[in-house]
Amino acid sequence: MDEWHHYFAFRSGSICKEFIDGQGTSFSIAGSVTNAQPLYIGRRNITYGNFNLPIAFYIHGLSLPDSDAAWLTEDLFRIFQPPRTWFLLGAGGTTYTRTISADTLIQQQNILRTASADAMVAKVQQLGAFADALVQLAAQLNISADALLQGTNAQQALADLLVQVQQSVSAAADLRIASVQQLQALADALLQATNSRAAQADLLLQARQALGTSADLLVRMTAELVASADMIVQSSGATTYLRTAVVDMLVEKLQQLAVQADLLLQRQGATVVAQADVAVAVRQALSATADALVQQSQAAVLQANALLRSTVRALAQVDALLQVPRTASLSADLRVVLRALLSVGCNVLVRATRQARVGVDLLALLPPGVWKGESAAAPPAWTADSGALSPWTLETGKSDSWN
Amino acid sequence: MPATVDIREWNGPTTGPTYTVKTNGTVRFKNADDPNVDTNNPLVVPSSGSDFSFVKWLRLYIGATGPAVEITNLRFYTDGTNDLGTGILLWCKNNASYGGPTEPTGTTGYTDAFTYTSAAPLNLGAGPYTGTNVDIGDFVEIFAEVQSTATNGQTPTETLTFAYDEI
Repeated sequence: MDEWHHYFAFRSGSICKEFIDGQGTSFSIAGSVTNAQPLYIGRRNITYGNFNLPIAFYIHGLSLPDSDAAWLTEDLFRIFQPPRTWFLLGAGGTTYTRTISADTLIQQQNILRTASADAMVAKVQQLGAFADALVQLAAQLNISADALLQGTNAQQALADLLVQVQQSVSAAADLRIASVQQLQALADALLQATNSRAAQADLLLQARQALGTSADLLVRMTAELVASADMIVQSSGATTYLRTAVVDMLVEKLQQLAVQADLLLQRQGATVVAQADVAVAVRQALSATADALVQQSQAAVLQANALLRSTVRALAQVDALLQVPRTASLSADLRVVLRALLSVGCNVLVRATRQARVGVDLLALLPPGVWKGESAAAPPAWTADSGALSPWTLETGKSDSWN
Repeated sequence: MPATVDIREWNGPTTGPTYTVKTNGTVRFKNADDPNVDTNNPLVVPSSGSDFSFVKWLRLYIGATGPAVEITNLRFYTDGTNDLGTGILLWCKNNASYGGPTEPTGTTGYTDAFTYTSAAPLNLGAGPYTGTNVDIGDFVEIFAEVQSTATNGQTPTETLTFAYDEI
């Protein structure tokens, strides 16, 4: 009583469906629906006096476009009041529920350890030791890199020193070359002087020969004078005494001339010869000096060449030494890469250690019946060295001074 | 015909979660992010402190049949009584977005699930929600805590209820 109900009906072809409060039914009908075929909903026949009043609700059609909704009250004796709100079951429609069951499985913490767990712990400890070794290796690499850097600096200093030595050697070679050139110039000057003295000696020899020729001429003139005197004696008929006196005078004159010639020869010729000999000796000495100078010059040139070759070798060595810093730089780069790889490796080890720890924990959770080699010993606390297994950090600020 | 609505458990990463229908089924709190109801990865009674399960992400889902009009008033509740056993707690909260597999380290921000009852449920969204093949409402982010006073073994089951209104 006094409740609203929801009615909904529609027809499509011969199918007719009715829903009352969401509960529906269907039936078939044929042909058109007319008022002669009333649709009764909750039909009751109530008699008021002589009237039989069927409670019927008529609709004018049941085709889909003309579908309609109607609300009825069971108390038809009251004045019909149409609804002012939507018809809703409950507060907001039908409430539905969906349920699930929830549970959990709980494992008592195991107080025993197994050989497998021990082995895993040992493995974890080995991993930790390996990680420590890697850390030490990285530190050693750092030290090696520093030593390499120091060695490179020393080699650079040595290369600078070699460059200075080469420059000094080059300067000395230049000085020697200049000296040789000066010696050559002096030798040339001496040769010219020697040639001049030789020409003078030749001139002296010519003078000596000329003197000899004069003496011969004097002898021949004396002989001619003697012959003239003889001829004069013979032609004049002079006495033998005169003749003899003339001859003697001539002879005496000739002897005087001869003496003068000899004296002249002895004085001037010896002087000329001595001078010529001195000139020759000087020339020879000069020639020897010049030869020595030439030899010294040649030796100096050879030495200069040797010095030049040494300089070239020194420069090549310097270039090779200059390659060392580049190689050291490459080594440093390799070291950085290696350190990065070590960092990755250490991180992997740290993760592996953690996973191993989880594995140990899980092994400890297995049911007691699964264990092998159970012992009554209480499980030791987790002994992973947190310091050794801490995440690897790349010390970028440490001794990375490569350029 | 009422809409097809299911409870689905979400697992996996946020970038590619997987879904498992759990309506009328069981969710097992464990130390792993999977929907399997098995004996793997059980919780462990700790010597001290607590062992927390991975979070279960539960959400309602409209299947192939949508509501005639709409779905509203999504809520979650329990029977209000913790029958899981001593030292075993359930913590939950609603969350609008999926956070992926996580194992909590504490209960801050969560509420004892058994404080939510039909009379005082956890609201998951007023709606209205329509359509088909669509997730609706907030997630129920729920996990179990096992304390040192708990005993080993499989716990009794608790019924978790999702309710909604449909017209």
